[in-house]
Parts: sequence; structure tokens; C-alpha cells
Amino acid sequence: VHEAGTYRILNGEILLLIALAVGGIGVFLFTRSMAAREQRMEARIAAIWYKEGQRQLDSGEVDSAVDSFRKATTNAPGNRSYTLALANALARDNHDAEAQQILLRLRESDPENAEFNLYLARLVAKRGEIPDAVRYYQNALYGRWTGSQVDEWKRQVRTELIAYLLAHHEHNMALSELLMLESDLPESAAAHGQVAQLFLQAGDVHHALKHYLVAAQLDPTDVRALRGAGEAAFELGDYAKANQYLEAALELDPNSETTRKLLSVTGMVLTYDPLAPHLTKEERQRRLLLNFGQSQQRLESCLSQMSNNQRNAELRSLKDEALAMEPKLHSRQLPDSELARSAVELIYQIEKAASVACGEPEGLDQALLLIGVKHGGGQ
Amino acid sequence: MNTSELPRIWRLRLRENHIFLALTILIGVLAGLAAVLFTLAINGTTYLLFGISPSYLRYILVPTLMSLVTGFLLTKFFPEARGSGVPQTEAAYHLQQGEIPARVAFGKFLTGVLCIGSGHSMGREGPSVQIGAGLASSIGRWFPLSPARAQSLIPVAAAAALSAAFNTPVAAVLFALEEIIGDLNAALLGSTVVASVASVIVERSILGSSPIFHVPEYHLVDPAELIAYVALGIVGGLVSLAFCKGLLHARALFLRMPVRSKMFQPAIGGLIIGVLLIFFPQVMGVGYQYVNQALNNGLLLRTMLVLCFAKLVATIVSYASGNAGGIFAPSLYLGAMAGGTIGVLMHRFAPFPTGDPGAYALVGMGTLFAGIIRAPMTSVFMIFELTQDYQVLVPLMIANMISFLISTRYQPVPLYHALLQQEHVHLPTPSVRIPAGTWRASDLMLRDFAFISPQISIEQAAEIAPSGDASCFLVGDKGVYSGLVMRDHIEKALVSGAGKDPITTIVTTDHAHVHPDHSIELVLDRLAKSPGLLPVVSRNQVNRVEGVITPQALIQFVQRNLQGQNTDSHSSGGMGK
Repeated sequence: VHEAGTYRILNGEILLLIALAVGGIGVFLFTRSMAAREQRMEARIAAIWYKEGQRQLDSGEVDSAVDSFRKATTNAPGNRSYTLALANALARDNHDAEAQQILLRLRESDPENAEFNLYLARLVAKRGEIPDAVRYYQNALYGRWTGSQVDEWKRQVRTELIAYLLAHHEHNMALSELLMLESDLPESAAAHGQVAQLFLQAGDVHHALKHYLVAAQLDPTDVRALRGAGEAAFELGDYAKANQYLEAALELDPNSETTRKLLSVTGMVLTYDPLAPHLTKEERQRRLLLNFGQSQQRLESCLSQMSNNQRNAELRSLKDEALAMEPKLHSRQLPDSELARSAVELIYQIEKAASVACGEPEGLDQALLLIGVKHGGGQ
Repeated sequence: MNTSELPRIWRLRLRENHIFLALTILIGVLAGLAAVLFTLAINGTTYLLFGISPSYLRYILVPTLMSLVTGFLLTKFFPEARGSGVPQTEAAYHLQQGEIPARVAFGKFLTGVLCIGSGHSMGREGPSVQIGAGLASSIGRWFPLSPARAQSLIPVAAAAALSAAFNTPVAAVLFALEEIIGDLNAALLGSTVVASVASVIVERSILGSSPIFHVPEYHLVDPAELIAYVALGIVGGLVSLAFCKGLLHARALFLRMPVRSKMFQPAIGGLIIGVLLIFFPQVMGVGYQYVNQALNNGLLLRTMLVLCFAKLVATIVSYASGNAGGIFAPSLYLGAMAGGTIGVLMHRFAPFPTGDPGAYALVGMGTLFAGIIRAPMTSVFMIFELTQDYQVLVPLMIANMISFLISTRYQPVPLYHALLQQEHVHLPTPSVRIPAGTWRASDLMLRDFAFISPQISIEQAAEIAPSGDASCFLVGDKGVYSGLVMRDHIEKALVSGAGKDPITTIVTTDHAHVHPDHSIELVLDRLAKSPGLLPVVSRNQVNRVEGVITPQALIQFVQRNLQGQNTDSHSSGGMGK
């Protein structure tokens, strides 16, 4: 009887433990529902602060926006959009270190998220850390994107990266990115025009011209494409084509002073090139004499402004060469091609020396310099 | 009835060990749930009382009016629920065999939610510990556990509650051992680990696994940077000291106020907090979001400096005025701000490369925790658990130890213990704990002693003073004594004609006492310094005399008990029973 009594007591303990466990489950469920309710409330409050932060950011109150986004992230710590908005606002408010910490944390939670990498890239780029910036941009490009316009986003990011690389004189890297960008371009004049512009900045004029021409073909009224094509052709020394494109551009935009000036120089290069094909000997001599006279005028004018002895000596030496060349050009015997080339080279040397000593040439002097370059001046 | 006739399930027998293990898990879960509920309730109350964007008037009215309510509750119904909860739990563990009434846990929950939710600058971890311990104590009493086992449930619950409240299970275990038990070698390691793990699982399944702090990656940029951490340790020690001294002085000030004002003292604190909140809303409540900002370099130098000072003042005011809330979170907040400040200064002016200010804020948290709470191992593991980075350990240990040493040097009694002493409770320090089976003061004290009433005159005292060799007497009433009076002082007063003066004019209060658990070595030491009478006072209430020890009592005790003991035991210096 005594033993049975003991068992009853002990069994009471088991029952009590079971009751406590059941009670614990009840409390757990209650606490969970309370937590869920509080999370919903906090999510609502966070949304209010986020909205307020966006409004403040739009109206330029960056400080207040940072505060609002902070409250939003405090209320909804798991919401990545809010955290990203906070990082963005902090970066705009020049709190770069904190913004970077937040973004690194976000990236840690999802390393392949394109958006996190992009924001990090922009922040690091702002701080001038080029290798890291490029790394994050690349991560963004090859990361996971969400939304419906992924290709367009990627193009924009790559364009941003290229512009950043160009701004930091990383032309080779920029060119390799540009080659990837051009392989994935939509059939749009704006896209081709933009890529052409970037190619031009990166120093790849051939590709620039190609894309300007595509852009102009896609939209013949795209004056920027035509002007760009003209500039690219001009850079390549194809003045005939440059003339053609610039004329077309000027026709569409007659008020463009830049185009008009470039067209004028192009016209002069075409009109005064003594080595142009299919010229009669008389015409070649006429052009040579005109060019020679112009270069001598430039030389004299420059000499009169000069005080630097070393430059002065160089210019005087060129003047002596010119004086020696002059009788040969004025000879009744028309100049042969060898003499013509020597004269073009001398004119180029004079114009170049004058431009170094007395500033950039304009008008015909500029055209003469370009004619010299076109025919291998200085080589 | 034969037991073999019972169904198998009814014959299941539980030993005490089994019950204890089951209770450990259950208490881990329940203490964790209580801590989570406490956190949720504080958050909900804060939103309820302050709304999304509170006005200045609300900042003042909410803490003031709510403190009136909590003042009433704390005075009338839950006087044990004032303050942090950690020292009270320690007192319950060491002095009351782990007994905490369920009413205390409930009161702590209610008043803690109202105090912290109404903007008082206090932490939730300490109250969570007391709530958990209260639950454990109540549940433990429902089972036929030995007193030692029932007592053991207190640190188990404390570890579980802290684990859920702060989300660092390892640090929670260490805190229970280092702070509550006061012994890192405690046999309860396994139970506290089980409870802590159970609790943190529950907490994470409800609130998610997102950490409280988003801690930046830690780097020691240059070995010379350790010098900066030495500076951080010194500053941390000084701030800890300022906090401890300020809090103890302010608390003493409130305790000296008339008893009638006790109910309104929290409201005085509430009013001051309200005014502070207008200028520094960042000091409201727990304030971990600002700690996060400091950790992530999100605060300016001036802001961190100002917040460090404002939080220090706010926490001192909130705590000293008798509200319910802890100092665990405020110490971390202060550490983050002080550390961040040092970090920015080092970053700007140090002649060697330094890490981000956030790294200093992180180490600063541990440094202030070590200086204020005086749990250096917990602080190291807590920060290590937050960062999960070995690199942080060396700078952290350097700064922590310096801060701990400075704080200990100038404030020898740990803050939690000093706060209890202000309430006339003396906790046993590890150094006075003696092994079981060793003679204690309680073994030789005389329980039969008389008091001289403090209301009588010196003449009357001379008449009723016990005759004999006694050179001094206890003055007091109903077990509560107010001091000692010397026989020769009485005689001198009679000779000088001051016999009509009250006895209190010649009472001395500057004398030694011992507690019943003190060793005989300590008793001998103090008896030698006493005027011939050593009061043995309760640890729970130091002005309550439980017995007295006189030289004669000591001689009698020696004669009674030590005769016949072998020479070896004497020569070894042991005082074993």
C-alpha cells in the first residue's frame, strides 16, 4: 500500500510535468501570435516611415530622410528595400562609411543580388576605389536581377561602368566592356549613338563611326548621330565622308556653331590639300603656294610674339628652311610630287611649331596642320 | 495493493535527477518565452504610449504619469520588483535558498513593462532574469526537490532568460555562473547550457534568427592599435566608475528621502526623464538601435559624446528613483558611445593606422560591461559571440581588464552588491564562501542575548546593564539593533553628570560585525578588533542581529568542540567540524 501511494505521488509529478509542457506549448503559441501581431504593426509603422523618407528624399531633405529610413529599418529590420533605401540616403548624405557597412551586410546576406552589388559599386566608385568598384559592378552585371527589364538594366549598368572607367582613364578596360555592350545592343538609334559616343571617348574611332552610322541609319533625323559620324570621320582623316555627314547634320540643325566650324575646317582640308588625287599640276602648285604663304604668315606672326629663345631658334630655323624652299616653289617648272611632299611636310612642321609656341591654330592654319597629319606629317 | 498490478505507465518512477533534467528544459523554454513576451510587451507599450512621432508634451507626460502608476504598484504591491532584478536574484539564490515568490515575477513583468515602455532609460535583461528566476522558483516548489536542487533552478532560469533576452546563449551561461552563482567552476554548467539552448531555440523560433546587433567585420589594422585599446580600457574604466559612483550616490539620495515620498520617487525620475527625452530622445528605453548605429559608424563624434553623457544621466535617474529596469543594456549603450568616441578620435589623431570607429564601439560595449557589471568573462564571450571573430579577443581582453581593474580599484564593492547593501542586504563574496563541514560564525554565536532599549537614559542603562565582565552591550529593539554602547562610556557619562542624557548619545555604530556564514578565521580577526562583542547579523537585513560572539563564548566553544581533536588537524590550521 505504501509503495502504491509513492507511485501515485510520483505519477502526479509526471502529470505535472506534462501539464507544464502543454502549458508551455500554449504560451509558445500565444507568444508567437503576439510576435506576429507586433511584427505586422511594426511593418505598418515601417511602411509609414519609408514613405515619409522617400518623400523627404525627393524634396531634398536628405538628413530627415536618413532618420525616417532608420526608423523604418528599426521597425522592419528584415526588409531589404528599406535597408537599401537607408544606405542610399546615407550615401547621398555623405555618410559613406555607414552606408558601406549596411550594403556589405546586405551583400553578405545575398552575395548574388545585383542591386546590392550595384549600390556598393556606386558607393565605392564615389570613394575612388577603382578595383573594388569594378569588382562590384561586375558582380552586379553577372548577379541575379529581378524584374521584367533585366537586359535594359544590365545595359545601363554596363554603360555606367564604362563611363566610370573612362572618367578614370581606364581605356582598355572600358573598351573590353564596350565590346560586350555592343554585342547586346537593341535596334535603337539612341543606344547606338550612346555606344558610339563611348567608343569615341575610349579612343576607338572606327567603332564609334560604325555605331554613329547605324544610329543615323535607324533614325536619319538623328542630328547627333550625323554630327558624331562627321566627327568620327574627321578624326579618322576621312574628310570627304566627314564633310558629307556634317553637311547632313547642319541641314538638320543649321544653328549648330560647332558643326559649322568643323564643316568649315573639313571643307578647307578638302579644298587646299595639294596632294589630293586627280589634281592638275597647276592646281597643285596653286594650292602649295597658297598654303606656303599662309604658313609663312603664321610663322612671322608667331615670331613677332615670341620671347623664348629656344622656341625662337626652332622657328627661325624653320623660317630659314622656308626661305630656301620658296624659290623652288615659285619656279616656272611645276613642282614634282617629291617637292610637293617636302613642301607639305615643311608647312606641317611650321604649323605644328607655331601651334606649340603660339596656341592652337584656327581656320586655314588648322586645315594645313590636318593636311600635314593626313599625309604622314612628322613621320 | 501490489505495484506489479499497476499498468506499466503508472509504474514509471522518476528520480530527482530525472525531474531536475525535465525541469531544466521546461524552465529553459518557459523563461525564454517569458523573456520574449517581456520584450514584446515593452515594444507594444512604447508604441501605445508614444505613438509614431511623439510631441514634447507626450515626452514629459508619459514617463511622469506612468511612473506615478508604477510608483504606486512598486510601493503597495511589488516592493521587491524595483531595480534591475539581477542582484535580487543573486540575493534569492544565496540568502533565501532560491525562493522567489510568484508575485515578484508577475510584479517585475508588469512594472518592468510600464517603466521601460514609458521611456525610462533601463534594460530588459535584468528584469528578464528575475522573471525567469521567479518562474523557476515557483515551479520548483511544486516538485519534491531537495533544497539544493530547488536553489539550483535559479541560475538555470537566469541563463535561459538572458539567453532569450540578449540572444547570446554562451554568454548567458557564463553570466549565470559568474554573476548569479559567483563561481565559474560550478557544477551547474550542464544544466545552464541545456536551459540556455532550449531558451534560445524558443526565442529564435518566435522572433527569428536576426541578431540584435549588426556587427561590422572586425580588423586589428596595426599591432600598434593595441595602444588605442589600452586608452579605451582606461576611458571605459573611468566611465564605468562615474556610472557606478553616480548611481550609488543618487540612489542613496533617494533612499534618504522621507518614507512617505517613496511612492512618488519614480515619478520624480519620470519627470526628469521626460525633460531629457525632449532633447535626447535617443536615450529612451533600451536604445539598441543607436548602439547599432554606433557599431556601423552611423553617429558623429559629437553625437556619441553627448549621448554617452545623456544616457549616463538618464539611467542613473531612472534607476536611482526606484523604477523597475536593468543596467545591462545601458552599460552596453554607454560602452558603444564611449568606444565610438575613442574610435573616432583615434582614427583622426593616432599616429598609426586604426580600424573603423565601429570596431571601438564594439570593444567599448564589452569594456563598460566589464567595468559596470563586473563580469569580465561574460563580457569577453558576449562580444566574441556577437562578432564570431577571434581577432577581437586580444583587444577586447586588454580593454576589459583595464576597465575592470580601474573600476575595482576605486569601487571595490561590485555595483549589484553595493545596490543591495543600500537595501541592507549583504551578499556573500566568493572569498567568504567556505566549504561545507567547516565551522561558521553561526556555530559559536550566542543566540541568547539582550538589548538595551534606545529610548532609555544613560542612568537607566547603567541600572539595567547586565552585570559581570561584559564591557559593551547591544542597543536596539525587537532584534533590530542601532549600535553598541561601552560600559566605560556609561561610567564616564555618569561621572560627568550626563546620566539623564539618552543612551543614544553614547552609542557607537563604527564597529565590526560578521554574518552567520562567515568562517571562524574571519570571526577571530574581527573579534580581535571589536570592543569585546561581535554582533552576528543577517545577510538579508544587516541591522537584524541573529546572535553575538564574545571572547567567553569563543572559549566555551573551543572547550566544547575542539578538545580531543587530533594534533594533525590543529597543525594543518583547519577548522573543520
